Amino acid sequence: MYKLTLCLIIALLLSGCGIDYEGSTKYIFKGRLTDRSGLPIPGIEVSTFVYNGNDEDIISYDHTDSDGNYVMIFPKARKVKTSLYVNSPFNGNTSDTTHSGMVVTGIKQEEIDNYAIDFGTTILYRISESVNLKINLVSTSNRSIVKLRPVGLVQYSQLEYDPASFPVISQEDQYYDSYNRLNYLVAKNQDLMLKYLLEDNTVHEVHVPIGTEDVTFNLEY
Amino acid sequence: MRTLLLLYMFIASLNIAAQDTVQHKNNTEHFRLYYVLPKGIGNNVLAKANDGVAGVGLFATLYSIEKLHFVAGFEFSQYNVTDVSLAANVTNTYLSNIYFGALYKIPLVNKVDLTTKFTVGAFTVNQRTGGSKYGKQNGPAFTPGFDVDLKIVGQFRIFAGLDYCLALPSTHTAKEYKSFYGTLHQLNITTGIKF
Repeated sequence: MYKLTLCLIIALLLSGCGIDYEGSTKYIFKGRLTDRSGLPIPGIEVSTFVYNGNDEDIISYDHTDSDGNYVMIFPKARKVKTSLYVNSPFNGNTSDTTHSGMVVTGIKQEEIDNYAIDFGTTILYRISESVNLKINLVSTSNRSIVKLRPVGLVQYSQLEYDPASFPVISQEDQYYDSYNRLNYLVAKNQDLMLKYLLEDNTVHEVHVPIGTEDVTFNLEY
Repeated sequence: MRTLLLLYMFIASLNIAAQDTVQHKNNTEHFRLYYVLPKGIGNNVLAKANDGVAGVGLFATLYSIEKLHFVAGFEFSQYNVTDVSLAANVTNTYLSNIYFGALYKIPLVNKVDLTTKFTVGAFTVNQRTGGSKYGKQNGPAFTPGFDVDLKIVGQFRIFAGLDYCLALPSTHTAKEYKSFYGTLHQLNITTGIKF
């Protein structure tokens, strides 16, 4: 009886280990990185991250070529959340510290059409052309902010692959974004948008003009 | 390993049966054990994103008529992944092939034979990093090849040869990459012993 129980426990533990991959199905992530003037940025690391709630993998990575292009082809993973990391330090590798980085979250492999996603052109800006953005939360109601995202040229911005999914607080949000940051490094001279979700599940947007100086913005909600 | 052993025992038993019923020929080959130097060629993931490391194979003759042999065997080879953007972030790609086929032996000069062969097999591509598995692809493989052997003593021979392997593992991906992952070409050098 003891041996049987031990075997069952071991079998259960083994069955729960690792991410389940389907080797015969290959997905393709591709895109291009440029600076604000449209010039390609070579040598930037881009990676694909999968997470099933227990285990995680960087299942593929690439470095942009001389024309700024990247392509990653990898086996389908079942029941995972998938993210695209662009010049991000989260994967443990050295990132290019002269350019900004970003993460695209909420990619659902089951919903990928024709086995490929073209992320198009992503703009990274030079960190040397940054200013600080500080957000002060000013409550004018009884509702609290549960999710806050600056959308624009922001260092380590985290964007939803499907913008319509913003109201949903995903597992990845809880994993990576246990707190809402209030201090950001952002590119100079842009019209930034602050997108936020209140606890009543309403989504709001407000524009924040960024010039050449540090900005402190009072967000009234 | 147990599967391999069972396969070996199965093939060996068939071979013993074949020896009982077929008149023994001087150049009859019963077993072959060989080392493989695998190499991907062409425009596919094996050639562009992997480097061949090594492989092993064995086969046994099931039945022979004069210079024609019908064989069954198993081959296993390992590649190192060199481009993770194309082959995924894994360390190794492993290929296995369980096959049946035919050989035709052509005597060249004293103690030296040329053997031509064609096999059809069940081919599997596995990707792994240590104990982690990254899925597999299955499909047929077709392998024409040849080798030249030298008789050392009795039935014992050493040989070296070249095999071309076309494998068609099942692949679901975008149209422009289907052939890249689903049509694999290898040109493998083989060397080993026959007895």
